[in-house]
Amino acid sequence: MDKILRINMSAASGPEIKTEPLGPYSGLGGRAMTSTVVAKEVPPTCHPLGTENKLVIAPGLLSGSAAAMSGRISVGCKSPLTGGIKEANSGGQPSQMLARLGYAALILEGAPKDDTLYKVVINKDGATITPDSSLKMLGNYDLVEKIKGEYGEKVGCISIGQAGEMKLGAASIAFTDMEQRPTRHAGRGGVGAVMGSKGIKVIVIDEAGSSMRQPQNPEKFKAANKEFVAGLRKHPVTGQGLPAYGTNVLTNVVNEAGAYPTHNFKEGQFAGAANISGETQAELENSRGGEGSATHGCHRGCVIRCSGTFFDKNGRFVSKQPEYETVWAHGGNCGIDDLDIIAKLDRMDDDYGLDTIEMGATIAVAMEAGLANFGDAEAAIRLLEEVGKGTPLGRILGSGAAVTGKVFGVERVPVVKGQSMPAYDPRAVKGMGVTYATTTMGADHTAGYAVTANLLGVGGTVDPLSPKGQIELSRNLQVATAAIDATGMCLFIAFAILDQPETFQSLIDLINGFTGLSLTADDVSDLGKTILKQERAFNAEAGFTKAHDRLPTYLLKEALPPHNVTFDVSDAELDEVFNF
Amino acid sequence: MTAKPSLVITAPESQQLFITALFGTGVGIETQVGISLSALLCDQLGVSRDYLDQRIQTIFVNGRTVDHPDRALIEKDATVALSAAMPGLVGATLRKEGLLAVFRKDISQTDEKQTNCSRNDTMITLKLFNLVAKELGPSLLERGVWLKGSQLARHIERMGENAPAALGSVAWNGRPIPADQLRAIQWPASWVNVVVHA
Repeated sequence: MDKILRINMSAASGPEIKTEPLGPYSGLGGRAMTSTVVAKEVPPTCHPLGTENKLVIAPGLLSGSAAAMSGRISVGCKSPLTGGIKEANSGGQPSQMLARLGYAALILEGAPKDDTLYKVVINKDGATITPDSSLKMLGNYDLVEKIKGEYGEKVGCISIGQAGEMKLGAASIAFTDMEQRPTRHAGRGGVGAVMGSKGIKVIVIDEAGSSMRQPQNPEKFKAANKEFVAGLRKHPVTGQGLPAYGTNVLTNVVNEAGAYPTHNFKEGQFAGAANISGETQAELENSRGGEGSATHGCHRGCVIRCSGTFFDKNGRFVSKQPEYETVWAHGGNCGIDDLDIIAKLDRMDDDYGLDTIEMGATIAVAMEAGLANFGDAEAAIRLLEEVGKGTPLGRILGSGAAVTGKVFGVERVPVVKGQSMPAYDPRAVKGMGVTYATTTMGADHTAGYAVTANLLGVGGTVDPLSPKGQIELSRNLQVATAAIDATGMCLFIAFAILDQPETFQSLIDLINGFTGLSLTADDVSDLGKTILKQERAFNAEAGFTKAHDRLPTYLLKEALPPHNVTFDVSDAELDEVFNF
Repeated sequence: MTAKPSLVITAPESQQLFITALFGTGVGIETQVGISLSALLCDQLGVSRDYLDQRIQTIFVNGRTVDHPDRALIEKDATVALSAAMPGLVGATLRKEGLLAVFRKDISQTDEKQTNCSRNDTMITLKLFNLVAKELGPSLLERGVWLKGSQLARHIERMGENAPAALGSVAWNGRPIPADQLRAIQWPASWVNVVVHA
């Protein structure tokens, strides 16, 4: 990956494509690349949908190589949902494809003079951009079918649906999977709206003629990769639990803990949880689609295979296996306990190009506002259809939970920095609440993942029993997560490297074997700190203060059943998270 | 003395739906108030100590996370839930004695909350999730579990019309009946002892 593709949509003679050397961005990948470009090139006070904002799409540092699990791709910009810096990442094929073609980043900048919609094609010979009005207001599925007809069944697509074209705050960017379906999404923060504001509907990637990226030290790389894969396969989470049940295996457990936000965060347990659990889902998928339907990778090189394929009762493809957060958002949070309905809503989100977490949270807020009753699955579908059609109500809903709550006068709106909270109630699991409150991204369950807290030794060794333990842990986890996001590695490697020091070391060896560097664990944590510092600095210049690092006040007052707990971490403690 | 209702089924291993659904919502286990959780699992139900220490990574009693199964005492009508290691930050947080346990200290069971109970009989609800259900479920069914009649009726309804045909044999209150009559049984409101042989 030795070049950047820059597309200036504002050029006088129409969109202009330039290929540049990496320059100051050399050695960066994934979130490190996207956040650094945004921090350096985007004015923090700009309008997120204006010409000054940029959309950066970057494969991870190890993407395109033979490294297992390295196919994640990062998308960065100033977020129209939060108003701050955003990194959203996704699986799918494009990360590996772009990396093999040599691109460390695509940077979309400026804005077209009119509402012309463009198609970008990238292959071994370079890139082209052409207007294509025939793509207007196509859903992602129809769009990809059309592209397949034109470019064949081996290309990858990065695209937006109707929501992105309408520049809605919940709009996502879709990435095609191994079956060439638009099922993988950089969902959070409205990144699809920024792509829509650039007038680009789809980026088609043809990797024909490219080859796998080669490591600097092949022997060291190969040995580390073998050790790394063995570590993932022997761990009970990455080797057994996730492949068998997917991420939705969490439903029963989080529900049992009383931390499962139900009926728009009013309760911590959902009576219908067992009907939509990962165990039930896996059995349903395997019975309908054949054994193995519940075990599938989201990108080439994935060895965990926590995804799956959801077929209807007649054996027709509906969607990929809905993730835990999706099942929660459209399920328990809205009082719906029907996996077929949830899969249908997931498919609609993917087609319109919407973040499933934001939309589930928004529909629950709408239900609280009286637009529908909790548990009314048909009403949930109708509300989502409004978004796809772009009706006035649909545009309000598609702008996310915060806007919807404001329009309909709802106080119980579960957002931080304008972004809805995912599937874990911060009153029951307060450490999660600390991360929701303080992350640069708005409420985000992946911002402070369970990654090697003490192994990385960020900020010293944590005493988990100390009163400040959760503050220190949240900080360390956010630092470590930012570093992992830079590699292009799936965050689910976290469990194996958390528990098995030799697997963590094999990850470091893998990076060093590939890059030829001699990074240590300290270097990796320094990278994480650097990413977070520049993200924090961007947000500060965009107008964020300590007051934005807070949870909604109702979570401090309303006790959550069944444990009747409130969020009681003090403001002073929250302000200590970023003291490095 | 009236015998307690009992259902004995011989079922092929492929009847996984039965196990997941059954243990996901919970089954009744007769035990004694005041014994430790580890005594219940290891001494009474035959779970090996290694399995408890290594495989069962997440434990709840009455919805509260348990870090020390030797110190957690069974209360009257308790609900116990067992899971293998779980993904995600919250999955790691809920693990027993995990580094991240501080994140959920307000929903953890503390020693102070344990009551000093006398050893009366009680019926607890035992839930098994994910891999633990798959691995411990068959042996517990072999030993026998308790289900309320209405609960049993719901599970059999969920198995679908064709499922009984796949069963090897069925005995209701000690008398063999054709498997396809399983759905027609008038279940009592009381507890039913259910035994499933592989």
